[in-house]
This record gives sequence, structure tokens and C-alpha cells, in this order.
Amino acid sequence: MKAWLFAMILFTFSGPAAAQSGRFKSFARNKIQLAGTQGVAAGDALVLVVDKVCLEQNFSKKPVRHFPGFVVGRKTAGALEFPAWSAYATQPLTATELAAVLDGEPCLIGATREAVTRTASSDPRRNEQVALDAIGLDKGEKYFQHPLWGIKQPVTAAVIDSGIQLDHPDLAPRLWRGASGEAGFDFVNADMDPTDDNGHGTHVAGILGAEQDNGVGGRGVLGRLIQMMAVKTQDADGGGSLADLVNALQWSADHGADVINLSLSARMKNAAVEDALQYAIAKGSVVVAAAGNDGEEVTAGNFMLPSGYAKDNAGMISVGSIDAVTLLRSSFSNFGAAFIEMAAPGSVQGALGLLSTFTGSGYRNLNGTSQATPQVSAAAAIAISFYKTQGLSYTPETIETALARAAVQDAALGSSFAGGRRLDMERLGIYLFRSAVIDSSGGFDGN
Amino acid sequence: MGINLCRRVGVLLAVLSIPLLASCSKFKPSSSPVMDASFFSAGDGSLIPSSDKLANDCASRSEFDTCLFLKNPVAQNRAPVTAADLQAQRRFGVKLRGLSTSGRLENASVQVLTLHTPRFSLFTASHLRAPVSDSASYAEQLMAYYWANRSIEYLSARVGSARLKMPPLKIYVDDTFTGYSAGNHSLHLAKRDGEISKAFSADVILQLMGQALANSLSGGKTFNLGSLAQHKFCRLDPKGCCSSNMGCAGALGGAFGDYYASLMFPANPQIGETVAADSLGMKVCGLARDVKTLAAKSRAEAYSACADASGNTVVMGSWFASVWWSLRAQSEALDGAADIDILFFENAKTWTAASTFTESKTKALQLAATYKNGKYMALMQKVFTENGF
Repeated sequence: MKAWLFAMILFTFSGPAAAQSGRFKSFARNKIQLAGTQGVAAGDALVLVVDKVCLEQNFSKKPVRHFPGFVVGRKTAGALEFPAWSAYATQPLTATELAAVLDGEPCLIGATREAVTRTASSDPRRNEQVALDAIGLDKGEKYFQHPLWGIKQPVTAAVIDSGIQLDHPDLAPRLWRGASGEAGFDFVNADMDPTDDNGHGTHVAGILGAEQDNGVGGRGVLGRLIQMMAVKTQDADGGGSLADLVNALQWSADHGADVINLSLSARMKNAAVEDALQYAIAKGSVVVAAAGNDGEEVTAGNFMLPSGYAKDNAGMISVGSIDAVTLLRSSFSNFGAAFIEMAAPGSVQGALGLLSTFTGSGYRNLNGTSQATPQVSAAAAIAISFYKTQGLSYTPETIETALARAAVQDAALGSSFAGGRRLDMERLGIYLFRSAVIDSSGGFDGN
Repeated sequence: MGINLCRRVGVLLAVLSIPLLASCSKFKPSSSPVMDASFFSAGDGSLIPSSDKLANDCASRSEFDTCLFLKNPVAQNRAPVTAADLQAQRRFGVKLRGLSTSGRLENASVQVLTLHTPRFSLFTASHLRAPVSDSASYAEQLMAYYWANRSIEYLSARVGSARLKMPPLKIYVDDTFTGYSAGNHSLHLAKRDGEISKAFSADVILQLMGQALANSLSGGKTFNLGSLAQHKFCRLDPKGCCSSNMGCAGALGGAFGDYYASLMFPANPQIGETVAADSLGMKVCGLARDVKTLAAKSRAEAYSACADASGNTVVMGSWFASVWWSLRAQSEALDGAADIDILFFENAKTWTAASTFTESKTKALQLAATYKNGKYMALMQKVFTENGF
């Protein structure tokens, strides 16, 4: 009976010319690449790499049925010439039987065992990045990396700071590149080499977008899809001029920055800076600015630039610091519910700072509202990428609204930051999904 | 082990010819792929088919295809159930019916899918009795298919299959969250560490399924995102609350969901026993989510129930479903419960994203005026008036 069956299969399926593929050299026909010498059990999943043209030419009516003994599951592979199909064995076969069955199929290039692949998580110092836990990043990623609706569109973030170490292994893959290959601009030295000679900008950039799952150091809040623009306004001592800041804001907006991170501050008002901020927002950039590290209340009379302009400019967000462990305001953070709109972790247990990239291809722990700010910038970038991925229109105001609504409103922070808001990435994921892809929770998800 | 010709032909012919397959059953060894013809048989219009029953020894009885939960673990057990007890509580023995011949848990109405765990295959017999697991979701997939399909079989007989027609509804049983997506025509059931999977609650599946059906009946208008004038932001949801106590489309969709789920468990129609770990069902903003009792509250009370989310569509929807359930209960005197179900299904066809409860009531009365010579007009008018319309 068995011989008759094989004869039937060969008769039915051995007509067409043998398929050949240079692309699958190690996958040559007649070489069934199944691990070991065992056969398959009923229900075992296999990958069948097939010659689509061969199938269409010879079995155009019902090509799926041309693998007797298997049920082909997922077979959508677009216009691929040699698509790989997931299939299930419908009965147990010894290795010899399997080889005979598959060998008799001329449009089959080869077969291997199917398996579930998972993204590698290989940032060896991720466990030191407690701030990422404090903002609920892993829970948020279940939304941002959702198989159906996860973010897929790149987003550009300008880091207006002391520059970035351009060849830092954790940052280089995530740098924006201009038409001439430049990674940004150096307004301090008026050239196209924004190399960091201070370290602050490199640290900020790492929190925002250090490459994730690359086997190096830690990761940024958005460790993929981000393209960071190094815009240097601060010199080796960390100082910078307002003129350079004004120019940098315009340059960043003109070069397509979706988000502009400003981890810098000065105690003053300046109309030129305010105009430049409004220019950038009008061009579509979300501007995120640090509250400053004086431990003072920000008021109209004790105004901090540029963050102080956030409350009157939709699409701009001012950021104070909380401790990643206690979730209370960091002692150094400026505060003021009227001016500081949101908080994110900028310290760890008081003195210890956040781990991030540093010049010399190294890593360092630093604290400050400078460190809190890029987390909010990354959240804004994620929201922008989500809207882009879903093909939805948005404005900087839309993004600020999303972050504000998704923030935790913590009563313990109510006197320090507007609404007691602190960044929460899981809530941001929920908010974004309910904005665009989920029409009702049915009331079953607890919020 | 050789190849059994009859099995091979049977499997191949499962796609083509069930009678031939059935004739090969004597060749089917116990560990082989399960392709019993009954999997592909027509549905049973009973509320609970005679083949499906609670049995403490379900796991050892071969007449059942699998063992699930009757409604949900807490409702079945009438007491809270821990995750560790779930497997032991799988005592509702059922026969699977209405499957397509793909070998998956799917047919023309529902398609059970996974995002992170392996998908069920009829060709692996062990999947039917696979235990509850963190790393697999076969039990969740079976639960989702059984109850979604069960509601279609039962309600098709009750209100007419034409009122149940919609494109195949995708049900993902191992998602991060729970909800309904109109754009993707899909249900999403959370399977999260440390929680009981939402797919183990038939009431959750059916509530969301009802929302999907309401949207389909209205031609996709109920959840049309373009019109949000009657909605406002609350609780992380840009359209999570009605703007006024006149109701809104989101609440109408929710009402249909609660009513739909209640139809399958009319004796104890409260929703969310396992979600709340309470055999009395869940409460939303202090109000029991129970169509039997919620109409005792006024529309204003329902609107203001959530201090941080006035007009919450979940509460408002449950309340409106309760008004209809009250109408249904009172129609029993006219032997009219099935007719009220039909009128509610027909009413959903008139909904748009701009609809309110009052508009829905007006349309319902118009429908009632022409249905069975206006048999239910007076009763409907009375019930709506009693509830402040």
C-alpha cells in the first residue's frame, strides 16, 4: 500500500521541470535540510521553500494542495520568487519517507524545521538602567512592538547640546545623516563636525536613543527607528551662546527634526529664543526642554529659558526630574506646577545618576533634568512614529496632548509639576492604541 | 511507522469530502491527527447542546473533544479561582462543531489567531487537551472558538442567521490588551503574566463580539472614528466617555455587547466574574455590571457614576443594555423575548457614530410600530418612559 501511495504522489507531482535556485545554494533540491535523521511527527511544523513560478506554471489551479501530507499555513509572501511557507505535517513520517515525499515534489526547493524566532535582548547593562523600569518601558514596548500595530516609521530627533561622540558603538548606528553624510552641525566651531568634546550631549543622546539589542552597553528609550541629529551649541566646558541656540533651533527644524531635545537652561527670558522655539514648533518639531537643576521654583519672576516658554506654546514640553526609585521629585530639580509640565527620572536613589553613553566610547552615571528630558523626547518620538505608522496626521500639539494625557497623575508630585504628571510608557501605549486602533476595551482592562 | 493510506486520503479529502473521511475512522489510531467528521458538522441551535455538560471527570471522558469553562472559571466555580486552579476547573466538556476544513479553529464567521504563541492545529491531537500554560494558548484558542461559534449557532436559530452575518471576525487570544478593533475587525484578549487569560471568560469574548456585530450591523458606522462630537476623552481613551447623558455611539456599541453576552447566559447575565475575581460579577464605578439590575438606576446616575469619567461608555452601555433587558423580561408575558432580541438587533442597524440613546429609542419605536402589527409598541413605550426617555 505504501509503495502504491508513493507511486501516486510521484505520478501526480513529478511532471514539471525541476526548480533551480541560485539563491538557496545550501538548500539545493534533493537535499532535505531537516535536523538529525529523524522524521516528523504529525503536527510538526516545517518551513517549505518553494519555487513560486514552478507552482504557478504547473499547478495553477490549486497550488496549495501540491504538498500532500502537509497543510500549508501561512503562505503570504508577497511577490517573492522563492517564498518560504509554514506547513504542518499531517501524519508521522520516517526520515526516509519524508525524503521520498519531498524529493518527489519538483517545485519544492527544500524543507527545514519551523521555529519561533524572538528578538534578542542583548544590552548587557540594561539591568543597571533602573530609570527605564521606572517609566514602565518594557510594558510600553508590548504596544510599541506589537505585531500588528507596532511602530515602524523612522523618526528624527535633534539633540541640541555639546555634540555627540559620532563613533560611539552604541550611538553610531542611530545617528541622522544629512545629504553630505554629516551627522548634524557644530555651531560652536561653525563646521559640520559636531563631535562632542564635553560628554554631556553623548550622555543625553544615549538615554534618548542608544541602539538596543546590539550586545553593547545599555539601550535608549527608543533604541531603534530613531535618527539622532547632533547639533552642537555647547563648548568643551558646557557653555553656549543664545545666538547658537537660536540658530540651532532653526537649523534642526529646517532639517526635518521631528523632536528637538534641549537639555540646557539659563535664568532669563529672551525674545529671540522664544521666536526660534515657535518657529520650530510651526515647522512641526516637538520641543522638549529641561527645567534646570537649581532646586528652585520656576515662576514668572524666576524664569528659566527655554523650558519656561513651554506653558504658553502648545507642542513644547518642559521636564523636571524625579528619582527613579522613590518617584519623588529629585532635590536638585527645578519645579513649579505652573511652568514645569511633566517629570521623568533624572536621578537614582538621590546621588546616583542614570547610566548612559559617554565620550571615549564609555558609559557613565549622571543625574539632572538633562537626563530626565531625553526620556520625554523619546516618548514624543515614539508617539510620532506611531502616528506615522498608522498614516494619521498629527501636530506637535497632538503629541504633547498624548504625553500629557497618558502621564500618571501622581498626587505626591502635584505641587512640583503640572497635574503631578510623570512619564509612563505603558499608559502611552494604551493611549496611542485607543486613539487609533482599538475602539473599545469593553471595560475589561482596568482603565 | 508507515503511511496509512486511508488516513492520508482522509486528511486530503477532509478538504474535499467529509463522508469519505468518516468512512476511514477505523484507521485512526489514538495518537493520530483528529479529523472526526463531527468537527465539520452543522451547528446546534440550543442554548447549551445536550452534548456539552459539566463533568468532574471531563478530562478522562472521550465523548468530549475538549474541556473548557462554562461561562468563565469563577462563574462556573461560584467562587474565586486562582491561576494555579485553572486546569482542574476545566470541567465543561464540549463537542467542537462548525469548523472549516483548514485544521484551524476557524470558519466563515470566526478565525482564532495568536500573536505570540503557537496556533492550534487539528492535526495535532494533543492540542485539544493541552493544559493551561503560560507559554502556549491552546486552551484559550479552544475557549474563544467554542463560545464565539456557540453564540453564532444559538443566535442564528433565535434571531435569524442574516442578523449574525459579518466578515470573519479575527480573535487574538494572547495579546497584550483586551479590546475590539473596528478597523481590523478583530478582538484582542489579554494573556499576561500573573493574570487569568481573558480568553477564559466567555462573557468577555461575547461582549466584545457583540460590539463587533453591532458595528457590522450598522454598516461600520457605530465605531466610525471620524465623528466624535458625542464623545469625550476619559481614562486614556479619546472617545471613552459620552459627552452627555443622552448617550453616544460608543455606549450603544457597549450596550449591544452586554446584551449579546447576556443572551448566552440569561439565568446569570452578570459580566466579568473572573475579571473581578468575584462570583457576583464586576462593578464599574460602583455599579454592578448586571443587565438584570442596572436599569434600577437612572440615566443620570449611570452618567455620573464614574467620578473621574462621567459618561463612561462602559457604564452607560451596560445601563442601556439593562433597559432593553427589562423590556425583554417584561415581554415574556407576551411570549416575546425572542422578538425583543430581534428588535434590538434590528435597532443596531440604524446606529451611526453620532447616535444617542434617545435617537436609538425613537428608531426602535419606529421598528416596533411595523413589527408584528405593533405588538410590542405599548410595552416598549412604557419601558422607555419608565427609564426616563
